[in-house]
Amino acid sequence: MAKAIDHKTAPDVKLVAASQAGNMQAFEELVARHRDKIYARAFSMMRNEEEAIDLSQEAWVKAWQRLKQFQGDSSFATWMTRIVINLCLDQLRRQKRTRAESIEQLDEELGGVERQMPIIATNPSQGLERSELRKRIDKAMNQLSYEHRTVLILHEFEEMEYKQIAKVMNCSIGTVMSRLFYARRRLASLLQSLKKEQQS
Amino acid sequence: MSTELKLQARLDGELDAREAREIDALVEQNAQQAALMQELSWTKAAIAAGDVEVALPETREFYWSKIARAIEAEERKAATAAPAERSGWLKFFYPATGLAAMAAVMFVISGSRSNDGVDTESVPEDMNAVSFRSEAEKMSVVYVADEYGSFSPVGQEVKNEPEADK
Amino acid sequence: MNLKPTSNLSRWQILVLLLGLGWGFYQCTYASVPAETRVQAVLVWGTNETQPTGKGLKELDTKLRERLANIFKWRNYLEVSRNNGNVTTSKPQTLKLSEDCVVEVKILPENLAEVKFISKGKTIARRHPLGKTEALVLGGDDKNNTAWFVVVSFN
Repeated sequence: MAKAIDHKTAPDVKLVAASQAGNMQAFEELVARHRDKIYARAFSMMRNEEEAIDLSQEAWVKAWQRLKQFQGDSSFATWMTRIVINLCLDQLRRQKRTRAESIEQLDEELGGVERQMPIIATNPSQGLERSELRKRIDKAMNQLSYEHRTVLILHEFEEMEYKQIAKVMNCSIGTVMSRLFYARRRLASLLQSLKKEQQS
Repeated sequence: MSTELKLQARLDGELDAREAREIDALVEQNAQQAALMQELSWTKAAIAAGDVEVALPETREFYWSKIARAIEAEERKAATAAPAERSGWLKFFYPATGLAAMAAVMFVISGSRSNDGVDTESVPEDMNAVSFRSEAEKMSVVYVADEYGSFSPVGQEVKNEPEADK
Repeated sequence: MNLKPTSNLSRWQILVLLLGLGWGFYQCTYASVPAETRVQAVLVWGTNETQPTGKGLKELDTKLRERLANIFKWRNYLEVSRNNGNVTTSKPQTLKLSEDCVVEVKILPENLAEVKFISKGKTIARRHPLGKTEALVLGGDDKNNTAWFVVVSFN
């Protein structure tokens, strides 16, 4: 007979194995452990609380259905994060299809605009407290299109390589590189503007 | 690949050793490219400190109850869809599965009788509801997902909404 | 002193006595229905607005507000209306909470209450054990990211 596990203290691998065997209590514990992280990733991509809650829940349902496919090649948290990222991207693509593009977005798609931006000569984050810097980054990220925001999130926070991002975002490595380049240059410019606003 | 994108790839560790040396040499000789490289690395460092830190604004029970309900619904859907996908050889087992199904139905009926419907709710078919208990607050909750608020008992005048929102 | 039963008959008598006591204890603790139960229903509106100006909204008592805030995400909980009454096995109770909404409470055997929440012609029904000191909360989404709650409590 299978030995009962203490859900509160069991490591993720044990909870995953129990969940794969159909133990819902073990899965509930996994949800409780990682729900904030999964929600935060959905929120960072969607920028909307309701959508982030819905998509993070959908991710957990998908995870339960695909648990058998989880082989432990990465951590459970990483695997879960990939699921929620994919769901967010699907949703963002659907929304984009039904939304008119702004002139700025069209500029971005055409490319080249980032080359016209002046190079920032002083570090825009210098001397900032971590909390203030986080606030400013958040504000600046809000002003990026979802493609640019996502490429930054995947590269900087999820530490994915160009080719992995290309696969997830269903585009070429070249597109990933130019999106990343634009996103960084735009972010530098936005941070600089915020710094000037603060100083004046 | 343009020089700007190569600078970025160098920063991200995506170039091989030969290309990396070429870019390093270029940055040393060209002030403009060096300035761009500097800006890119400042931005990269700044972003590293800036991942969103938000906590889920729902309790463990409420959040889980919705997931559990969705999983159940998906499993029910899969169970009803399954017969169409079954292959032909399974038909030889139909008499046995029929008996098993009858036994299962009897089991479910006897089980539900003993439970007497406590902690289950009946809701209109066009509505989605989740239920859960909060041990800490000593509350049993039935929550209806209804984004248009069409079931809401709170009147417009209470919510102080303009007529157009109705 | 020898307390061991001396015959089969007395063993049976003890067994019957114990079963009777057990059954009586069960009836008293779990299956009894109080002659009359007081029921209270409070209609609450949950919103993120800090100072809503809607008609008839009142401050919700702190204890209930905290309990709801510990479960749900809204920042502000306001009382829209409240009603109470007595319910017995022979007399169900209907509590009106707004123009469109009533709560019907019926006592069932085995210390259960059937609570029917009727709003805009639709009904949600739920059986609730009276033995526990738990409140029953029926709630749902409302427009503009707000929510409503009906808190039904018994004592």
